[in-house]
Amino acid sequence: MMESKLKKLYNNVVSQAISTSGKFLFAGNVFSDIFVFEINEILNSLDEPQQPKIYPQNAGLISSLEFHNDFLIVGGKGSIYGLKFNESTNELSKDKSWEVFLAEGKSVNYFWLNKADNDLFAGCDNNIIYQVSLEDGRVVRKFEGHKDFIHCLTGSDDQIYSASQDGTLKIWDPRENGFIHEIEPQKKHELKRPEFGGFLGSCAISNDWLICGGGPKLSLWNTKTLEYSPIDFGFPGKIHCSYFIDDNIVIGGTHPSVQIYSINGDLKYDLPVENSPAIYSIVFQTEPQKIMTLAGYSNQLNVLSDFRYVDIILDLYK
Amino acid sequence: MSDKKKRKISEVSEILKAPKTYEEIIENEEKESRQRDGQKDLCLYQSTCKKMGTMFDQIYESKRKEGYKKADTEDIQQECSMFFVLLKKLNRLEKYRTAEGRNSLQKEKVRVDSNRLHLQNLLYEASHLRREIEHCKLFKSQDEDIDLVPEDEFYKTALQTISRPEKTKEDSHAKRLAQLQWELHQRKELASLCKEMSIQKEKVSKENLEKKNRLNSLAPCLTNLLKATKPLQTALGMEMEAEWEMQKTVKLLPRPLFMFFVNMKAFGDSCERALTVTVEGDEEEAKQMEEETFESETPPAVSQIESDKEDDEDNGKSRKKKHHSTSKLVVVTKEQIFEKKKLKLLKPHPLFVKFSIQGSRGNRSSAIAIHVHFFPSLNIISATSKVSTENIGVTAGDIISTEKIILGLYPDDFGQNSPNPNSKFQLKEFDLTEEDFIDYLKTNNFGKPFLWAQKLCGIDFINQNTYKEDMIEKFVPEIVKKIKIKFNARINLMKQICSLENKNIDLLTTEKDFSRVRISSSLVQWSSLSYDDFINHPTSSRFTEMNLVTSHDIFYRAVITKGSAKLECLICIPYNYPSDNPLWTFCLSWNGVHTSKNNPALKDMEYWTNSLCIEQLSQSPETILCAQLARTMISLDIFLETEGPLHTPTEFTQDKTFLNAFSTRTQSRPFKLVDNGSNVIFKQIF
Repeated sequence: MMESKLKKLYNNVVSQAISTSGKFLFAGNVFSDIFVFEINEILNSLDEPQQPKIYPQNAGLISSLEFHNDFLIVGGKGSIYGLKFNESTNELSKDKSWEVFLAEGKSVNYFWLNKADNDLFAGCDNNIIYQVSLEDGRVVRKFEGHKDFIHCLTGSDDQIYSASQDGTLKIWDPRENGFIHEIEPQKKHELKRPEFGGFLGSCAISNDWLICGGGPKLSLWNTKTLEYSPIDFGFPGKIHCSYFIDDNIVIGGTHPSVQIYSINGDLKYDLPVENSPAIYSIVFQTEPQKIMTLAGYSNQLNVLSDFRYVDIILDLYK
Repeated sequence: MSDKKKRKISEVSEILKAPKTYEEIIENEEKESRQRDGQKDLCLYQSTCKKMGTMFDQIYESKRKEGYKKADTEDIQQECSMFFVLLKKLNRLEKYRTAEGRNSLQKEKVRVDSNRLHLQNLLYEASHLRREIEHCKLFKSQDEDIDLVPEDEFYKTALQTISRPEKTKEDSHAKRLAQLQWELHQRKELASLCKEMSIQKEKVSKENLEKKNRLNSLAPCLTNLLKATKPLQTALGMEMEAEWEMQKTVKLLPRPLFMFFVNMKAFGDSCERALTVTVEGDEEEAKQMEEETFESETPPAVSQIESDKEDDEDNGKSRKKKHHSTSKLVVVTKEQIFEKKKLKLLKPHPLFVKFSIQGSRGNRSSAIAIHVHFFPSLNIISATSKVSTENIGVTAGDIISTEKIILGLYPDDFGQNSPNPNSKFQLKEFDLTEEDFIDYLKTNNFGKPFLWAQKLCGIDFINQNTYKEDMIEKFVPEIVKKIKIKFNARINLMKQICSLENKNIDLLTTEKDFSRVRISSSLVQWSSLSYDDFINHPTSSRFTEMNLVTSHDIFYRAVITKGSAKLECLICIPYNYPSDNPLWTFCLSWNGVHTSKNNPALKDMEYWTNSLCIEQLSQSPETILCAQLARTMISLDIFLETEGPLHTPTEFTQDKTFLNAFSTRTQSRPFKLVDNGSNVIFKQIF
């Protein structure tokens, strides 16, 4: 009784993933539960909000989720593992198909999947990034160099970008031993926000541009020259997630709204999220159905079908 | 003509023959008149008149003739005068005849009158007789009402001298007489028997009285004896007398309370030392009530029959009258009866059961007494509680205030509705609502009609009017356990709050883990809060949205400070504590206002405090509130120690042992205390 009340009161969703087919949405929380939604149902049954299927795990905080082929890859405490997902029956397997132990019992904070090479990069709480081959489950290599835990990962064909609590964004080349470049936004006076700390909570790239932010304000960098573009994004809180959507940038964090900016720093849409003190996970797709979901420290999942306003709010625990 | 004359003369001469005296003549004439035929006389008269007419004519003719001489008419005149005589005679005869006729008519009249009189007499007599016959026909003797012995039995049992079958077999009247005689005989015998018996009875009762007197004289001796043994009884620890006294009153309890008492008592005597059960209330009134109900249960049957009888005897008119008069009587006292009935409906049974549970482990001096009342007319049980304890703090009083402990023992059982669906209609008859009834109970200190109280007394409203003994048996231990747990929890809570009010947090040290941490924040205020204040506070909205708080809960406000930071805590102690833990919510004022709405770290803190449950407290589970406070204070320290270094000038620095100030993408703080052998370290919750 008390436990279910507490779960409802303090549900905190920190990871989400969308299936390859684009039909299912997965969300993992601090209580080690995985919620599975059918996207079609979310968007079409407005009168009767969809009840997610809940699959309890025993992996501690589910800090990262990724979908690959027909597997849901779960990043828990000290390991990553695959759960087979049957799309036709909407059933997530209860047994792990495979499991790789890493991060010395600490959480796996973020995944970046290199689909071309079937490689999964996992940024962990022990300051290390692991490259895991999804072909054979082998840890291909470790990227060591961060002085604090990894918040976020992203990559391009030949480079890996990692944002860390230590306040640095490091750029790695899988062929090189150490990191090849490093930027530290907190050192720039105009980005510094000392009361939030210097950590980098998020990073993202699109062709020519790299964005990163956290304690410091969101900053825009050129991927080739790594030159800073002095554009001011006014997002007032700590930044925990940021993504490029076409030419726009969506930012979420410890602020009662998620904001969408154009690349030149103009605020385009302010999406109020009053049910949570922080947003930790944003996922979106445009095909087959346009959907964006915002999740954070709340029992509610905020759904946008138009990327301009939150139009559906779903309860996770009943 | 001459013949006639001759005859006439002869006749007359005959009459003239003996005219002796006047009387004789009259007599004769009378005789003659009787003998002669009146009709013939009439003819004679007419012929005489005719003859005289002709004679007169002759006289007139002769007189008119010239030369009239008297002598010419002399003959005729003579004859004519003779005729006159005849006429005279006839006239006299006629007179006689008329007189005679009158006389005879008179005679006839008298005769007719007397005959009629006679006839009337006869008719009257006839009708009198007829009436007599009717009377006879209607005659009913008392013997018809007598139940006689049936015929067969009569012939079998009756004495031969009375029954005389040879005579009575034929004659039904004689038979009946014989039967009646036999009845009389028997009755006489029985009457004598009765007399004999009553004499015997008198004798026996006299004996009884004598014996009773003797026994009565014994009573004071016995009471003296009892008084004398009392010190011995107490010395030996045998409280038999009290037991007997109680047994007496227990018998007066209404059925539901009796069932409850017996079960509770049995449970208390056998399993639960801390439980005592007694019967209290106005014994005399209960006795009176008992008698009244006994009376009212038996006599109505008799009076009903009587009135029926009366009705049968009375004919329609008088019944109507009677009906009318009674209805008038009702109108006069209607108001009074209404009030009386209303009072009766709302009146509880004068006796009530009181069971009290003593506090356990260190709370022996405290006890909770629960009074269970029964409303016979409404068939409802109400329960109220009284707590006796020492040292009640200002705000702590709320914790054990009356009703709060027995409130909501089961989900939604707040005693705000009448548990008996019938009662709603019963109350409605007297223009009362359920709320009025609940108010009435409250103002008269009868408590509330909790569902568990009904069950405890075996009243099941789903299966009406069935007292379920097995249900009570099952229920008694359950309820006692619940109340005991809740009461003890409340007493402990009260102690904690008492010391918190005095900012005395020594109790914290009872939990080993907390005692090993140096808490640098301090409790500066502890005060009670009203329900409205709580729900109107901005930080509590999440609780109210989820219906986690009710007006039955108890609310407190605590203020913890560390340096320039001030943490305001709002605490809700749920009515069903200890099943549900106290809920905390925070508002931190330090470099702006931080709540769980705008700061995930505060929400983490809140979760961490609220998730502390009794099971996690190994050493002293009863100090949950203090443990939560301790956890809150430690969490505040941790929050400020992790957040502090980011601010300049640095007010707070790391004091406690933790590996990472932040961890995972949520940047969670190390609120969790982990035993690390010689010392404690702090780690992230998840």
